[in-house]
Amino acid sequence: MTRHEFAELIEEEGGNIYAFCYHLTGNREDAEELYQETMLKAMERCGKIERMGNPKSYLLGIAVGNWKNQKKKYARRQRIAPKEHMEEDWSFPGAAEEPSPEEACISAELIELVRMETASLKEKYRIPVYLYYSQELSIEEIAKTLHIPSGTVKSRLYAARTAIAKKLEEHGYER
Amino acid sequence: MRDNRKSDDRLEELMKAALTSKMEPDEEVNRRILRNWKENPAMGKQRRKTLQIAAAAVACVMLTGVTVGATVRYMNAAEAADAMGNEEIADAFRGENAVSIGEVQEWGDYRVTLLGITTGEKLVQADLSEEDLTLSSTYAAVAIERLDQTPMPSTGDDAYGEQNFFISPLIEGLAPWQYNIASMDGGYSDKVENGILYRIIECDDVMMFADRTLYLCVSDTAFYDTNAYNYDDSTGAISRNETYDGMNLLFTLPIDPSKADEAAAEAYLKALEESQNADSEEDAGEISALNDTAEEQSSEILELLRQGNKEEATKDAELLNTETLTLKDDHYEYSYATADEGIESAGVYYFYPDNFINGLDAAVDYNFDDEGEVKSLTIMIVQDNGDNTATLEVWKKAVS
Repeated sequence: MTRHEFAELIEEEGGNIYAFCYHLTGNREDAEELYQETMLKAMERCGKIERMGNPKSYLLGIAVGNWKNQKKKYARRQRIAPKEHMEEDWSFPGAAEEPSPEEACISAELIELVRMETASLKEKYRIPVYLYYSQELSIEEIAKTLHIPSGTVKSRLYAARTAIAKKLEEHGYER
Repeated sequence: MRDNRKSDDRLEELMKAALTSKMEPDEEVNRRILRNWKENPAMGKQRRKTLQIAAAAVACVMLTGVTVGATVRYMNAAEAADAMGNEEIADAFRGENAVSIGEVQEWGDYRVTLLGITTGEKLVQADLSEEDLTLSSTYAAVAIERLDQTPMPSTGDDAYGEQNFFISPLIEGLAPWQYNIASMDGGYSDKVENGILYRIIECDDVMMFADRTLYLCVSDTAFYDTNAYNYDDSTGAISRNETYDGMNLLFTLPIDPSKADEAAAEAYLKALEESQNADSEEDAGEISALNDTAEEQSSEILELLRQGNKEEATKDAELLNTETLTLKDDHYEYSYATADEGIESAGVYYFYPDNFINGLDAAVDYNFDDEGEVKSLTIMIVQDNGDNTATLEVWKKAVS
C-alpha cells in the first residue's frame, strides 16, 4: 500500500472510524486520540489491510481492540474532565435539508432518548449496536470484527433493541 | 402481529436516525497520522513493497524488444516484466502457460489494454507468520494510458498513485467482494514507460478455476467496490454495473478449461476460508469453551441441589444475600437488578412450590463480561419454610 493509498483510505473511511471512536469515548478529545491510535496501528498493518476485502471493518476492529485495551485510561480521564454533551457534536442526517416525512415523525426528544439509552447499554450490547446502526455493518461483518459468533451478534442486537424499546415505553412512548 | 412488525420497523428507523452521525476528524489529526508514514520503519517490511522497491530501483531498460504492428507503442507483458527487473515473471510470460491477449477497453480518459496472463512459480514468499496456500501464482499484465496522450505520472513523481486502479482476477460463482486480489494473497508492480503505466498483478493461481469464466476487473478505486460490478447469486456471473459512475472495466480471460483442477480448487477455497476465519474461530472457540464449562458447572450444581447436597453445590461460592420471600398466588417471586441497570443484570424468577424437590428449588444465572464470556454464576436457592414463606439465598461462584 502506498502513502497515497493510505491517505485515500483515511479520506474514505476516516469520518466513519472517527464517528465510531466518538460513540465509544463520548467526547472529542478522547475520540481523536483513539482515532489516531487506530490509524497508526492500521498503518503498521497496511499489508494486511491491502489483503482484506473490507478495510472498514478491519479498521473498526482495530478501534474496538484499542478501546478495550485502554479503556481504563479513558475512564480515568473522563472523571477528571466531565463528558461533554454528545448532542453538540452530532449531526442528524439531512438536518440541514428538508426533513423527509419519516424524519419529521421522529421527534428530536425521542432521538435524544434513543442515543442516551444506547449510550447506557453495557458495552457488549452497545458496540454491536453502533456497528450495526451507525456503521451499517452486516451481522457477519460485526461477527468478524468482534471475533464472536454471528448468532451472538444477533442475540445481542435483539437484546439491545428490546431493552431500548422497553425504556421508550417507560418514558411513555408507545411502540 | 402486523402492529408488532410496524412498531419494530419504526424502532429500526428510529435507531438508524438516532445513531447515524456525520463526523469528521480534524484535518490536522489526519495530517499528523500521515506524517508518521515516512517515519515508520515497519512500512518497508510489507511484502509487496519489496517488489515495488525492486521495480523502482531498476535502471531504465532499452526497449529493444518492442513488437511491431498494432501494439507498436506498447511493451508486451514479458518486456514489461523485464523493465520491472523481474526475469522470473518475464520468463513466465514467455513460457508455455502464457496467453497473449491485447484486448483494449476504454473508459473516460483512459485506455486499458490487457497484454497477457500467465502462471508461474510463486516467487515471493509470504510473511513468515503466514502460509502460502498455493505454490504458483497467476500474473496478468495491463497497460494503462491516457486517451489525450498526457503521460501517466512515473513511479517517482509525487502525482504517482493519485489515481487508483484496482485490477484483480474475479471468478464466476465466487462472490467478487470476497474473492479478489486482496484476499488471494495478491500484489502488483508498476512501471511507467513512454507515458504508459504498466502494471503486473500477481495473486494465488486461479487457473485451477479454468472451467468457470475467469474475469479481470479494472476499476479506478483503491479496493474492490461492490457498486462497480454486479454479481448474480443464482448463476454466479459477474458483470459491469452499467449505471456505475466510474471506471468498471471487465475483461473475460481466454483460459483453456482443461487447465481446471476441481480438487485443487475445492482444497484452495477451503484453505482460504480457514485462513480468513482463523482468528475469529480461535476466539469464538475460546469463548464457547468457557461457556461450555459454565454450562457443565451449572448442571452439576443443579444436580447436587436435586440430591439435597447444598454444601457441595455452594462449595467455593460466596453468599451474597439471604432474604425471605412470601408466596404470591402459587409462586414465590424474586426480582433483581444491578446498580448499573445493564441488560443481563435484571431478571425475575418464579419458584413454584409444586415443583420443589424436598422443599427446595434453585436457579443458576450466568454473569458475562464485556467479551461475552461467562465469568461467574449466580446461584439462587429457595427453601420452602412451610408457612407460605421461603428463604432465598443468592450465591456467586466463579467459573473455573
